[in-house]
Amino acid sequence: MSKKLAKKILVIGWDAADWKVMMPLIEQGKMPTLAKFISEGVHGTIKTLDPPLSPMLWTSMATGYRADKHGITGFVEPLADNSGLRPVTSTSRKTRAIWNILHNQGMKSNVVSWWPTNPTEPINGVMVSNHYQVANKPFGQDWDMPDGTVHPESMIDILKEQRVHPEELTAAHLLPFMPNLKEMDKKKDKRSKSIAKIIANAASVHAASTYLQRETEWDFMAVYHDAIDHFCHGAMKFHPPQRPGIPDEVYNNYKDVVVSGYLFHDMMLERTLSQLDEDTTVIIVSDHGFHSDHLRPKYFVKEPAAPAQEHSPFGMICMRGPGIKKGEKIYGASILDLTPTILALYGLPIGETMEGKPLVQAFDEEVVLDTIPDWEKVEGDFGTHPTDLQEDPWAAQEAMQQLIELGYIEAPGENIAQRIADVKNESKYYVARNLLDAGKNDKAIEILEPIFEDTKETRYGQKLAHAYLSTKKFKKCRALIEKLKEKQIQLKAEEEKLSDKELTKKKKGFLKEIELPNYIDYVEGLLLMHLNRPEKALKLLRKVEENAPNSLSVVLNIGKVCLMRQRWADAQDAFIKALAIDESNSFAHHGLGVTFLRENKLEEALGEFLTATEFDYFYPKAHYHIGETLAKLEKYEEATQAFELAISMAPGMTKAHKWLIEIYKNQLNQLEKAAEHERFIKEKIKGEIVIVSGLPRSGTSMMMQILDKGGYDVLTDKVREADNNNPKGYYEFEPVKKLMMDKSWLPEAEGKVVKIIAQLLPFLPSNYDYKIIFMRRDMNEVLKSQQIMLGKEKDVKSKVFPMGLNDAFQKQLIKVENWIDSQPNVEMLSVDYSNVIDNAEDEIDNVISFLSSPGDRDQMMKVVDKKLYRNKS
Amino acid sequence: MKKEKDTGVKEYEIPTLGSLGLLALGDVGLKMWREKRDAEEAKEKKKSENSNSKGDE
Repeated sequence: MSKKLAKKILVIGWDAADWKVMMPLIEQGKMPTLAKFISEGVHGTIKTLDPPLSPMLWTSMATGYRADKHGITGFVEPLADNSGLRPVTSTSRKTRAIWNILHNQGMKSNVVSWWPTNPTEPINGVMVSNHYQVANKPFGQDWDMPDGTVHPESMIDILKEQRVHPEELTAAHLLPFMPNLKEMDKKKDKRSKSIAKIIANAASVHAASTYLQRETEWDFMAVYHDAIDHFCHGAMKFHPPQRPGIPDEVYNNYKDVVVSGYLFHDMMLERTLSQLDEDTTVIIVSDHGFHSDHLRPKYFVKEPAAPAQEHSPFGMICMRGPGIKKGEKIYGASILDLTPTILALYGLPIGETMEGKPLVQAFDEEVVLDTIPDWEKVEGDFGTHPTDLQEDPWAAQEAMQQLIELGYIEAPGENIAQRIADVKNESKYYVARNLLDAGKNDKAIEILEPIFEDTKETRYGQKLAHAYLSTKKFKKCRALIEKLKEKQIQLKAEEEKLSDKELTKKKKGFLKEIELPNYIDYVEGLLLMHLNRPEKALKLLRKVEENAPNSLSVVLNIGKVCLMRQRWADAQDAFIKALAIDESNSFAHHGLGVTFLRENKLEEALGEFLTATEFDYFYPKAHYHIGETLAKLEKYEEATQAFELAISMAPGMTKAHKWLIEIYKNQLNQLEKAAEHERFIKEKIKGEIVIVSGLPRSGTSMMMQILDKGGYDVLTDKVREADNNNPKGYYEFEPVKKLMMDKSWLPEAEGKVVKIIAQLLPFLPSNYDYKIIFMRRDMNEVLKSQQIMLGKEKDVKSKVFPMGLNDAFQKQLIKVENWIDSQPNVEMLSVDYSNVIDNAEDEIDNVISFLSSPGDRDQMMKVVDKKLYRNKS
Repeated sequence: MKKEKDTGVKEYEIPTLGSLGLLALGDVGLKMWREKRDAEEAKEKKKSENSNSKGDE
C-alpha cells in the first residue's frame, strides 16, 4: 500500500464552472471563499472529453473510464420493455465507481446528486440520487420521494425536509438574479420560473449535503451541483457584453443571472468549508467549461443535446488540504484523473485499466503509487445494485420532463419506436466520438459505419470521415467527403426552393446543419495535409477559419502547415490565435517557439519551449528545441542536458545525437562522450536515404531528373541509357534491382537520392531513415505507358490490357502503403504526376519543403516538360 | 434520530421572506427561515382570527 496522504476527501462538483468567469470575479473580491481556497491549495484547468455531455462525463470522473467502458452514453435510455424512454439510470453503469471501491475497502461515503445515481446504490454511507431535488408536484401538495432516491431508507424523512420547492422561493431569493423581477412580464416570459427552479434545486442539494456533512460519519463525500451549467444555458446569451441581436429589455432582465449564480456558489462553499475539520482534503471540479466571451456560439447545429455546443473543453479544478501543495498551479489535468487521484490520496491502488492518472503534481510529497490490474476483477462486496433491480418509471418520467425543459432532449414524438431507434443511434454516436477523442479510431469506425449506412446522417458521416483520415484510409475518406459534399449541395438546393418566409422561420431557430460545410472542408483540409498538399490544405483551412475563427484544431493545423511551408509570420499568427483559445496548449507553445527560433529570437523561443514542456513534460521535440536554442545561445552545458533528455524520451532522434557530438567535441572537449554518441549512430542509425518510388512509368525518372537539376546528389550508374520512352534518361542504379538479395550497396546511397520501384520498398532494412517521394499516376496511364514501352502499341490503340493487371498493381500499392505506414523510420511525400505537369510550382515547393535541404527551384522547374505527358488516359 | 451537532451558526438576522444568504447556510439556514416564516404566518393568522372574533362581538 502506498502512503496515505488524505484521511477524508470531499469532492464538490460544479458543472460547467469556468475560470474565465470566476477569475475576474475573484480579482474583484466577489468570490472571496474561492479566492482563499485557491491561495491555500492548487488550481488549474481540466480537460473534458468529447462529447461534453454531463451524464457521460461525471461517470467518467467517478470511475476513471470512458463511456465505452462505463456504459453511460447520454441523457436518456430506453425503458426495459422498449415502450418509451427514461432518463439514464445508475443501473446502466457497467463499471464500479469510486464509492464502490471505497465501500469494498471498508470506508464510508456520502454521495449527493451525482449524475446518474438513481436508483441509489446500497453503499456503506448515504446516497442521495440526482432525482432528489426535482419537484414533481405543485407547492403545497405532498411532495413524495420516489423509491430509489435515498439510501438508506432511515434517511428518507430527514432528507425529504431539506428539499426546497421552486414556488417556495420569494422575491428575496430571486432579486439578486433578476433585479427587474417586479416589472417583468412573467406570463409572457417563463425564464424567471426556470431560474427559480435552478435556485431551488441548488438549495435542496446544498441543504442535504450540509446536513449529511455535519450529522453523519464519513470518509469520502461527493456533492454534485448542476446549477452553474443550468444558469449558463439559460442566461449566458445575456451575460455582458451585450451581443448584437439581444434586445435591451431582455438583456437588462437577465444579464446578472450567470454572475449571481457563481456568487451563490461561493456563498454555499463558505458554509461547506466552515463545517469541515482540518483533516479533510477538498477537491472542487467541473466537467467542462462554458463559453462566456466571443466564443459563445450564435447558432447550434440541430441535433439532440444541442446545448452542449455551448460547453468549452476546459473546466476547472482546485484542491486544498492535507496532502496538497499550497499556492501552485497544476497543468494537464483530465477529468479521467479524478478517481485515480482520489485513490492515490487515500494510498489505495489505482486500477491499471483506468484511463486517467493521479495528479501527483498537486501532492505535497512524492509518493510511490500502488497499482492493481483491474478493480473490476476484484471479488467481494462493492455496495453495487442487485441484478434484479426495478425502478418507478413515473419518477423517471418527471425527471425526463426537466431534461426536455432544459432543451437537452426533444419531446418524444408519436412514433416511439423510431424515437427509441434514434436515441440508440445517437448513443452509439456519442460512444464513437468518445472513442475518437481517445484516439481509438478503429473501434469508432466499427460503430460509425453501420449507423451512417442506416441513417445517412451527415454528423455521423463527418466523424466517420475523420476516423478514416486518422487511420490513413485516405481513399475511403475522400469517397465519403465527396458523398457528404453531394448531400450538402442537395440541402442547399432544397433551401433555395424555400420561400423567404419559410427561410426566415428556419433561420430564426436552430439553423439545421449550419456548421456542416465547415466540418467537411476541415476534414478535407486535413486529408490534403496528410497527402502532402500543404497549399491546397491551407486554402481550405483558411476558409474554415473564416467561418469558425475560434476552433482550436483549425488554427493549430494552419500553424502546422505554415511551419511546413516555413512561413514563420503566418505560423506565429496561427499559434498566437491558438493560445488565445487555450493558453495551456503545449503544441501551440512549441510551434510558436519554432517560429521564434527560425527568426533567431532565441530568448522568446526558449520561453515558449519551456512553457510547452511545463504543460507536457514528455515532449521530446520540445526538449530537442530547448537544446538547439541553448546551443545557439552558447549555453552548451544546459544544451547537452536538454538533448540528452530528448534522446532518453526518443532514443532514435538522430539530430539530437549529432548536436551532442558537435558540442561534446568542439565546445566542451568531452571527447569520450562525443565518441559514445558517434558509436550509437554508427551502430544503430545509418543515416538518411531519399528514395523516389512508385510504379514503373509513374513519373519516377522525371522526379529523379528534377532532383538532379535541383542540386540534390542522385545515385545513378547510367547503365540504362536514355531512349524514346525516357528521352531524358532513367536515372537508375543497377544494384537496386537485387535489393531482395543484396543490400550491401546501401551505404553508397546514404545522403543521396535513389530510385527504387514501389514493389521493392518492403525489402529495405530498418536501420536507415528514409524519405520517400512516392509518385502517383492514373493507373490507365501507367498501363498504357508500360504497354508502349513493351512495344505493344496495338494493344494500347485497342485499349486491350492484360486482364487483372490493374487490380494486381492496385493491391501491390496498398501493400506498399501499409508497409510505409508501419515503419517509424519512413516519411513519405505523395506526388501526383499530372499535378507536377499542371501545377509544377506547388509540387516542387512541396518536394523542397519535404527534403531537409533546399534545392534550386528555378532549375527544378525547367525540367517539367508538358510534351512528355504523352500517355494521358 | 440522534441529537444534532452544533451547527456553528450563532446569530443571524432572519427576514421573513428569507434570503440567498440563508439558503447558502444549507439545512440550518433553511430550517431557520422556515421557522421564522411559519411563526410569522401563524402570528398573522392569529391576528386575523382575533380581529375577526372581535368583529363578531
